[in-house]
Amino acid sequence: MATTVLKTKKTGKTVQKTRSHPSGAMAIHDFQGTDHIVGIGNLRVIMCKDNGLWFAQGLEIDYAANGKSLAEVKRNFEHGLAATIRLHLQSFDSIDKLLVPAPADTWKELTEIKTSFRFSQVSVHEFEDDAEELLHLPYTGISYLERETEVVA
Amino acid sequence: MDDTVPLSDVILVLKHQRVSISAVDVSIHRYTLAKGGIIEERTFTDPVGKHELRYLSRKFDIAIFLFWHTEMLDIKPEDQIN
Repeated sequence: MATTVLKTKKTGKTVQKTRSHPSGAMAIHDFQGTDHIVGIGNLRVIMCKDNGLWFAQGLEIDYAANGKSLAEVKRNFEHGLAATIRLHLQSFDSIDKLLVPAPADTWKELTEIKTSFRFSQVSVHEFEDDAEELLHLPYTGISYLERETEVVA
Repeated sequence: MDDTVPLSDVILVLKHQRVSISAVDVSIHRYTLAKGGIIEERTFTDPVGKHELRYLSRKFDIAIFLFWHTEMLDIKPEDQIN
């Protein structure tokens, strides 16, 4: 995510922070008292397969996951990111420290195109926390970009 | 070449490199890792692949050469990624 806070609104007890990236990725954190709503939109995730293991790396958010199948790595990424957001809210009362893009060399390594990407859209990631005071609403628009060939690291 | 490392070895290295590890759900290999202001919940496969290892090395500032002896990464200590 860009380091620029595009919009910060304070309305009564409600505070909303929105950050966006030129790619269209954005993050919204809204909270009132101890209730938090976090939304992530248009996040790009590079996926590659190596030695039978799938790896998914977020670009605008430096978070990654792995799994033994395509479905598993997506699930691990979505659940892991949601759980990580919860940890950040619990620890820092903010997701600012999470909104850091992957380093340029990681982008380059994972996006170096020798064959074409296959693009797919995962529509909604819904997450409800078991803690009553926290509520995370859906992620929308996670774009998974899948390599068709294995990556030599 | 098998570029993977057993999960137990990775956990050992993380602990040795002072990454705080809290098991969230051992049965599905979910862990909370924390070091120097970075905190994440992660799901590890067993074994752990090289991309995951590189990510952990970079993000949690662990010395990748500790994995080197396993011969799963064809790099030398001076090439470590941080």
